[in-house]
Amino acid sequence: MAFRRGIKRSAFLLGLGAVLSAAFVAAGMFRPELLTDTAVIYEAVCRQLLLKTTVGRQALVSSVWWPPLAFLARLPAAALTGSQTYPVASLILSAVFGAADLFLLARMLRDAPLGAGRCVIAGALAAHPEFIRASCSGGTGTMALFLALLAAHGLMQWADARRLRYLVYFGAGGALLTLMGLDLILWTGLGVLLLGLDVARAGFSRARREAVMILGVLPAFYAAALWVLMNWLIMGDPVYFLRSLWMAGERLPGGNPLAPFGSADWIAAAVCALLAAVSLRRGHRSGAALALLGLGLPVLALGLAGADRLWGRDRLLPCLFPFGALALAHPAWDSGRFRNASRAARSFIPAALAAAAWITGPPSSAEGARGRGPAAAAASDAWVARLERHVKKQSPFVKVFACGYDSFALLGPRPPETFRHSLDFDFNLEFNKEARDYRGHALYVLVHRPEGRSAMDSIHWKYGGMFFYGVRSTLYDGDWDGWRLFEIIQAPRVLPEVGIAGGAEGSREP
Amino acid sequence: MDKSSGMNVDPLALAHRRPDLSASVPILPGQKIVMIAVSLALMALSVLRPWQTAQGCVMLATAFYLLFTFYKLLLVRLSVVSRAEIRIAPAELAGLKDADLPVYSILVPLYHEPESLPGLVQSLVALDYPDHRKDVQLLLEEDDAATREAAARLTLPRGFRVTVVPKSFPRTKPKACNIGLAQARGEYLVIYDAEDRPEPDQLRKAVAGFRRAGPDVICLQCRLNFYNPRFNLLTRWFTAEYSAWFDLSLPGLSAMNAVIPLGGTSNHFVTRKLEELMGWDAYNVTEDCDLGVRIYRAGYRSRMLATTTWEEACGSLPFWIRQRTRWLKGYIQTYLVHMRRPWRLLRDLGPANFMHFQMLIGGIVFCFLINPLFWFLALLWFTLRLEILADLFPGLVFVGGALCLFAGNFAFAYIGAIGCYQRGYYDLVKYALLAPAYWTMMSYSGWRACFQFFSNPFHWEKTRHGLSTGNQT
Repeated sequence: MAFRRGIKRSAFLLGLGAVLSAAFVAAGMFRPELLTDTAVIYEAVCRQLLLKTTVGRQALVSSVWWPPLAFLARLPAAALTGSQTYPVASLILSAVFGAADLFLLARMLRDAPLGAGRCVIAGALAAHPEFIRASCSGGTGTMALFLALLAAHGLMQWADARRLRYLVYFGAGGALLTLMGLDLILWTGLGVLLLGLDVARAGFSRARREAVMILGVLPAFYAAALWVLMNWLIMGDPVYFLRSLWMAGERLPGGNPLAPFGSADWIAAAVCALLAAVSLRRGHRSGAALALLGLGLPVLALGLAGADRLWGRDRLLPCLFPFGALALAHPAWDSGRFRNASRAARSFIPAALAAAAWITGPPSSAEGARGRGPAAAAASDAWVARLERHVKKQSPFVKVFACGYDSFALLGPRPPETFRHSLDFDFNLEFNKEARDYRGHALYVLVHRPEGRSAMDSIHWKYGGMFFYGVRSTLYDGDWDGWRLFEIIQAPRVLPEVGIAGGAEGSREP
Repeated sequence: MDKSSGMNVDPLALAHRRPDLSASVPILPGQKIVMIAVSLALMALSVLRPWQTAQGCVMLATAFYLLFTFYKLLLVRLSVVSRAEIRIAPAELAGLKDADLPVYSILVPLYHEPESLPGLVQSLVALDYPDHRKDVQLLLEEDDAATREAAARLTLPRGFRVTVVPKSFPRTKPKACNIGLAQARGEYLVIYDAEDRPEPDQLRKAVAGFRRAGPDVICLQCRLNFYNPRFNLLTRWFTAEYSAWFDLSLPGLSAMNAVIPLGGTSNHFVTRKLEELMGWDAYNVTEDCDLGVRIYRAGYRSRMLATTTWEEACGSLPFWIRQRTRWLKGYIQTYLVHMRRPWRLLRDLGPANFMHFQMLIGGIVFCFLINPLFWFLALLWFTLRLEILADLFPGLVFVGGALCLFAGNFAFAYIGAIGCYQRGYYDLVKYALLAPAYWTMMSYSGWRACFQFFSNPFHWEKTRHGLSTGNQT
């Protein structure tokens, strides 16, 4: 009987989740200006993965700024929807995780004696403009939030109740967050640090301490090790995805690091700071875990901005409002005094949150992305056609290597024949398999201005200053709306003086 | 049925009265024809369309792996819900008056295990249950003079008796248990192995559990675990596996009201209902698993009971392989017996339990059989980077395959670690993560079981006990 009741309840929640997701998808469809080119890039890479191209595999693993999990999670929807022009899979994913975020938030508040108040809190999140935008943008914000909430829920409850299942939640959340990009890896590291401190102070035996750390931390290490392994297998360099961290090329100034912080973010950060101070003083482990994880979000965001990694923080800040909401509601289940508070006082928390959600304006950031509605897509197609006409003036046999992840937004999943995506371009053509295949063609390289996320592309850390000064054997051709085109100067195909055939065996003849 | 002599009973009643539910004929001609037809069709397809056939097989196997992985994770998740096990609180246990307790039959089949007898008797005496309400039968084989002499030398306590099992084919434990069942006097009945050490309050908990559970619950399965987990690496892995199976997977099944493949010992039954089901299949070498399915087919249910029986983990690799071979051979027997009429099975069990049966009985064996192939493919991929292998996994199949390889395998090892932690074996958590080496031995046993199923289906490979205690039997 209990099992059947459980099934009915699960079916009801699933149905509700489906309705919510459908609402987010519909909002995304009817307001395409909310869509970002990040969504287009994810979708295009998914298409390449389904086509099993080398560049698809490279895109999956080759940058710590582009999370493999975001691509993998979209694959089933991408395979089913089959759309080539509209990022439906991305939209579905962000919408589904948007709905899941609301349920998880309500679930986390289940133990607080808030009654219907927890639905108001979940509703406050649902009404938050930044959350709506994240749910309809096709980005990874809602997915990141879900995983962050899962890990935080696990750590909080583990700290409080020491129940194994919560340790497993933290472990699973940490593993998945590790595959979500540098910003969330750093945040997971903070969680691991907190777990370690908690275990060290818990008075466990050595064997139990080891076991807790294995169960809580090993999944994240395993996920990281997999990423390294995949880089070794696919890119031929185990740390290729990390190289942009220390082989920095020349980048443009990042701007004001505080600019993306909206007033809701400041309020949420203040609430987390307050809860952290109170919890640490009173020895409330779960409150301290929640508050410190919440505080970690803006601190890491500022840290990344300070390190000139501006776009790396853009998934951290949208998580801040829900963490602030949880921090505000936390005393309701953690403090006996509050537990007995009047109904009016208890309803104050949800009401305050709902007001905060409505009143405070959101910052304008969505994964550092640029808007990408259908109009932008059409303009992009026209732009590509113009560029193609331009390069074909010189020779009908021409290839343009569009470098970096932005090329997927520019060219879409199936680029015109003249264009090739490239994530590991090497100007030494002997080492460049793609270029070797097109020897005899006129070759061009198209590079995006190194700003924001584009600054992390391999072409910039491999060839610092390349955008501005070019590299040896390239010739500046022209500027194209933030992109710069270089022609590669090649030796003649046949060198009769030394008897070397320039056209390698198997190369494509023009 | 005459309960006084036991000589008039038919220990092969199931095979005689319901041969369709017995493994007395391991595989029916119709099943042989289907298997041959499928094999021939596969061979023909392999010749005509080799690439597409290989891709199709890989796709099916990958889909199965994915499904199985999620299924196991679901079981682990459900194992923590309150309905997963029947838990008897100390207060409820204290409320049971001795006078209200029914007679409890305990069957202990022994074969060439004279050294185990004193310890066994001691642990059964230690059971917190009135002596006059215990009905303990030591089931000794007619040709096992050593154990019979050892039993004769012991002064058996009140409530104990020896039942001699006549020498006849098949020489299996379930046949002995059927003879014991025929002479059981208790309202409830439980099976223990010679080396078992049940928790002292287990019988009381079972009585309370049966009274609390509905009338359709006729079997309570206790958790099993080992008292020698740290004997060697093999026992560590074995313990991790048992902890995951009995503490996570089976409670998860119980939470879903699903078919529970019973463990070989510490199954508590309502005696009358067990008789109604004609006891165990004497021809099945995992008679417990088969009985677990028959219970559901007859419209009854099993539940997990939160109490542990401690056993001895087999610490010798050759004997472990024999034991595992027998278990997997029994799973094959059970699968083929119940799949003789799949539609009938579907009707009896219902769609959900039918799927559980496929995953638990057929799926586990299938996994062990095909694992080596996929490990080999993965090894080839990593070492030789053969692009042709990637072509075997088209589109999403490649993603699914990679997910199974990297996430699925880790998840299974992690589940073992969770089991160890749950059990309080904190120091074994790290060993559980080395389980992939253990799985290779399981796959070896799986293939051995497969061959043995066709060559010697009723052969009972007995496990050697006492390695860790020095009392080798």
